[in-house]
Amino acid sequence: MKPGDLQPILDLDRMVHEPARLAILTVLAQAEEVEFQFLQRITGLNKGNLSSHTQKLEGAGYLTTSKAFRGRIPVTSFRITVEGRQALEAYRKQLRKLADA
Amino acid sequence: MNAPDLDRMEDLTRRYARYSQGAAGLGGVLGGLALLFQGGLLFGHGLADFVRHTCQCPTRSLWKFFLHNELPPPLWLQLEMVAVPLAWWAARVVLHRWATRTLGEVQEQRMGFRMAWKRLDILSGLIGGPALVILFSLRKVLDGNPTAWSPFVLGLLLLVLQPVVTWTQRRSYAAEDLGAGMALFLAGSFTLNYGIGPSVALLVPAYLVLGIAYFFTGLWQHWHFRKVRKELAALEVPE
Repeated sequence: MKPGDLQPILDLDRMVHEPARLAILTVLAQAEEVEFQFLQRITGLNKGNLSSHTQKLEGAGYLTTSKAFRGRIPVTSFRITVEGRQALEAYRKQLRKLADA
Repeated sequence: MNAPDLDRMEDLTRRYARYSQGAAGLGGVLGGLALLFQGGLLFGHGLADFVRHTCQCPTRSLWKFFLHNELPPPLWLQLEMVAVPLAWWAARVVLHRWATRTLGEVQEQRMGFRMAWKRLDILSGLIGGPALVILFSLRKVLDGNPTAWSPFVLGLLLLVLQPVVTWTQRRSYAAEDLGAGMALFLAGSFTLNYGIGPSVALLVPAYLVLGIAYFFTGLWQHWHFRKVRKELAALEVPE
């Protein structure tokens, strides 16, 4: 990377680059399906922020949401999609390149 | 946001997913104990029959005696053979909910040796166990020696329930406790359809080995679960 060349940084996927969304995708990539409670605990996000970020990721096609009831309690779970996994992997590669340059 | 770094997040997620499955190991502990109990009960009951028999026919070996005598289970034992797997199933569902009530469920990724093991367990629960019992029962009917007592309905109940339980619980089961449950169903179903003697001769030694293995694997899994739960509980959660 030449000094002053910002293009590789601008090329980073903004959807993944945001720290909270990066954390969400990182966690989801390690499991088949993750419930809201666990995701909130491990990412340290509040409910509103977590909902907002997962909605953005779902809109980008990086995760899917499923809602069910356990008894009378509503349970929300998330799954990373193939596109989400690919985006996370591509982002990591880009970051490694930037760090090596 | 007050969260651990990404590497730690990955590690905690993987470990929680692995050790929270199967009621955090307690399904295996319970299944192991139940298998040892069932194996001991069948052997004890069979042994009492053997002692009674040796008074009349003292030359036969213990194994041959079990193999060649059906020894129909009494009604209380028939009911017990059905009740124990069902009680294990119910307890396991309750314990799994208890184990994941604060942190929620995380399903382990379907890859590697453990997932192959789990698939094998699921296949044996869906097809293998019931097929084994059906084959043995068919053989007996073809030999012109159908079951002389009447636990058929109870045996059939277990035969039908085993695949149902396997299918409905397949997601929250761990490879470590699914096998214990399937062995419990098989124990009941085989004994009800085929008698105590062949069950003791052919399956009880396996139940005893499996019981010990599942008990200690479950304990190990539960110890790891408690450790990861403690680490997760130490993280701050904003309102």
